[in-house]
Amino acid sequence: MTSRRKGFITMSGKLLGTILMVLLMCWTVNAAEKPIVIGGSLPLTGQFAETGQWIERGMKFWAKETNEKGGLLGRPVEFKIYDDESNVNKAVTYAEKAITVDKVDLLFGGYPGTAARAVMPVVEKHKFVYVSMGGHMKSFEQGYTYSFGGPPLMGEWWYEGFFQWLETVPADQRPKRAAVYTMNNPIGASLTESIIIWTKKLGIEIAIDEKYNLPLPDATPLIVKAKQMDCDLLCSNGVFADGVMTIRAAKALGYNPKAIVQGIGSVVPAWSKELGPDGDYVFSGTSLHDKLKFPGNDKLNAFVKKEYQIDGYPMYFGFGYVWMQTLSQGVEGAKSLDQTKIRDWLKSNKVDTIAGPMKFTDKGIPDPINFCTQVINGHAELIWPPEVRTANPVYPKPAWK
Amino acid sequence: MNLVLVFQSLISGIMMGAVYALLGIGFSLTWGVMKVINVSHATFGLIAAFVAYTLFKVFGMDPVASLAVTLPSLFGLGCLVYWFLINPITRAKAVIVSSMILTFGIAIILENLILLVWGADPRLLTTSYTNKVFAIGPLYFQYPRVLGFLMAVVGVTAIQLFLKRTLTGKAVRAAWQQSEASQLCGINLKKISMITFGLAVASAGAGGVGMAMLYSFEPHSHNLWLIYLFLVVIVGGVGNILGAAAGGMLIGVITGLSMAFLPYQWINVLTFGLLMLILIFRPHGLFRSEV
Amino acid sequence: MLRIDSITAKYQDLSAISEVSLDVEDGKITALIGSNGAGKTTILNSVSGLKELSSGRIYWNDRIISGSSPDQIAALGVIQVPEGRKLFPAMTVEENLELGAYLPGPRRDWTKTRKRVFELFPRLEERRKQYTGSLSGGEQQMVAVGRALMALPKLLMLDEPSLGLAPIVTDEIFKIIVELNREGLTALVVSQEVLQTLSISNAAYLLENGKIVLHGAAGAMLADPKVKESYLGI
Repeated sequence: MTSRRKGFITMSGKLLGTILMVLLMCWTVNAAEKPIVIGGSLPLTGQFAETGQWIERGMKFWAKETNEKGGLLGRPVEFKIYDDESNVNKAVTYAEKAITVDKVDLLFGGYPGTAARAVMPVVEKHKFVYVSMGGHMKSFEQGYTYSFGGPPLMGEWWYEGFFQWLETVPADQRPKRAAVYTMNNPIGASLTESIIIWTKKLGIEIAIDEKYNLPLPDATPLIVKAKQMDCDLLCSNGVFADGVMTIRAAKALGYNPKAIVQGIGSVVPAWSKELGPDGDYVFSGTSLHDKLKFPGNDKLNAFVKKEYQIDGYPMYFGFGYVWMQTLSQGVEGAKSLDQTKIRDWLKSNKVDTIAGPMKFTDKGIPDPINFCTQVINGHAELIWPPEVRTANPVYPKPAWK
Repeated sequence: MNLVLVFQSLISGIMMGAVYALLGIGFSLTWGVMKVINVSHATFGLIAAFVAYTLFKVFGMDPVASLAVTLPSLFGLGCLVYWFLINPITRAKAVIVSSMILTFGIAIILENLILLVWGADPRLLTTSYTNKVFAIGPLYFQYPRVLGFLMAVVGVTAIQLFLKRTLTGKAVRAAWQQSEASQLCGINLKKISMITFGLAVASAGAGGVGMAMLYSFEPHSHNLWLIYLFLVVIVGGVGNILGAAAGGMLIGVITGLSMAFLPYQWINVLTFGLLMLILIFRPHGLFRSEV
Repeated sequence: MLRIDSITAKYQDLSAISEVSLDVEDGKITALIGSNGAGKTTILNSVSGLKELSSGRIYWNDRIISGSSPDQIAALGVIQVPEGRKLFPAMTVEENLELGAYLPGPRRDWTKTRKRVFELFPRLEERRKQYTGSLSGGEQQMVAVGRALMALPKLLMLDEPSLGLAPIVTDEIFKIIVELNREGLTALVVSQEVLQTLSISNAAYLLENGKIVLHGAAGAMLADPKVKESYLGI
């Protein structure tokens, strides 16, 4: 054997020894403070990428804050996040994988509602606590015990705040006829529920009630019809893409209803950023808002201001944060990672979040939360209930400029 | 019958269909001429839309004017993609299938590139004339739609003239009709295919800007646009430019009419039902397949 | 002149032609005869660069052209009229002719060349706006020859120019080949019409099962007992 080869072998031996030592050190450190792994998937690419990424940022802000405070149950937290590519089936697969293969300690909540709805039976089977948006009431009426909407983004509650406020408007100034256009999916259907109940109560006639499939190819005919039927309330129960088309067609065709209420299209920051002043005066709902006075919101606002130069955190950033807030209070309350103990604690105690205090019913949802928002000068302002109001509502909607 | 609604829907639909056609002609061309189903076609269009958006926001450049920058760049990019990626697989037996797989990969890479550069936020191209209209009687004509329609007319005419009147265009047709004989005439297949591909990708750019004038767009929008592409080409016939144009308009007419007469839920059922009928009874499209 | 030096070409490991050598002299008509499947078309496609060689070389005026691409070879004036015409069916007669003059050299004076082609084939001028897919077999062959002439060939290689044509049309085509040759065109004619082909040629090669079995002056070949027996049926 040449000396050079001998040298090589000794060197390899030394290297191997060092690697083993480092590994051993890591292992001992880990044993002392093994992080709590929180797994699941988010739509980081594909159709829901924009919101998915904001949720991820909100979650990571929670993790940063938690780790700085000394972690959860004294252990650091870390995420194992899969990208489900906005595909419901993949979201289900990744939830299963996180539980059975990765053996994560906790599961984080999913988005959008269609994915959350599909993951709920899976977590029930594996007895894993799952705090998410839920999407609509049906998700919480299936007898699941481990799923929580903390807070949910409940379609059925979406316009409660708007109509409660509208009720305070003198009857002769309220709209008389409504045009209701709804995207043809379960979320859209859940949005119409409160419209049907409340329009009857307020004596508003539903002159048009139509569903459309996404993608909406053209909003012009919708507006022509609403204009011809003299509808002075336009309910556009859709998402961003069809929402902005409807607004543009309304402006182009000079259609000026007294109020426009929007589904979930106007809650993303892109709404005002892309539509500009045309996106103003649109009413919508929310269960979470950057201008709420509950403790914590100011921290989130300061963070996004510093990190992303945004005034007021985007709604989904808040959701990413608040779901983790609820889950972690469950863990700390139960003083354990035992999923059933966490569940039972959450069902019998109150959590304090940036969306306010919540107490969960047997269904896993709090009492209805319904704030009414209106976009004013490019900002979604809270206008109902009165105690959270940040701006006075603009009604009737001024004509297009 | 509500005539205003019918005609307003029809006008709006036809102008929308024209933009689909503009987006579709290049797709039809590469499919017909070189048997390459370019799944990334709409993705190139989407890039043009994002570039137009940025040029408008930063320099106030009109989206149509931005085509002066994007079309040559996309042409070059298309040529490079053809030379280094598509050409090596054209000798494969199942070009159609392997090209779909390859361009699917290209689409994913481009989408992630867009995501990286522009982020995931949805965008809207809002120019000074976005919400402008002119009226003829009770009917409104929306500027962006009229502009999209005109772009489509110019685009389709330009490609048609190129194919029918220029020597290079004739060489493209020759290469498709009789590739061996075209080589014997001195036509370099690789070069001609590269030009065709570059041209198709450039036309996608025009189509993408047209789409951006009608719809909001995000990094994944190309997946949706791709559906329209297949629709246009299957209705219009593979490799047939005027057929693709007619196919796009027909889709616009059907959408417009069904929005005027039927519940909106039926639009997709009707459009794709029609697609199936065409595939069953006229598998080569409504029009003759011909370049 | 064209010199084919011991070329072999294969289709899926089976030799189509093996060690074929052949010369085409300037200003002459050279015939390549043999039965169907003997490998005649393979030789022409090898010259044109459509078929890859497994061995051997092809020279044009002492320059190696084997390995060049079909368009490069066409650019040298080595032009083929392919078997079965292979026209562009959805294009007019005019467009087919125009594409014959696709290369920059021929393109320069292409309308002049086209005038000459119309003189040779007056029928084509009558049908100039017609799609070639709708022409008769004879007219199609005229377009094919015309298209090749548009390239201003220095060597014209015709692959079975008379296949499937009526005798009158065949005569006309052959007459034109002779006329062009008289004007100085070099030609390589591949045909199963042995008698007619040999009668217009200067030199000839006989190909059997991918090998040259006989070559010499066309007259001598006509008199050869083997040719007489196998191909002329005498």
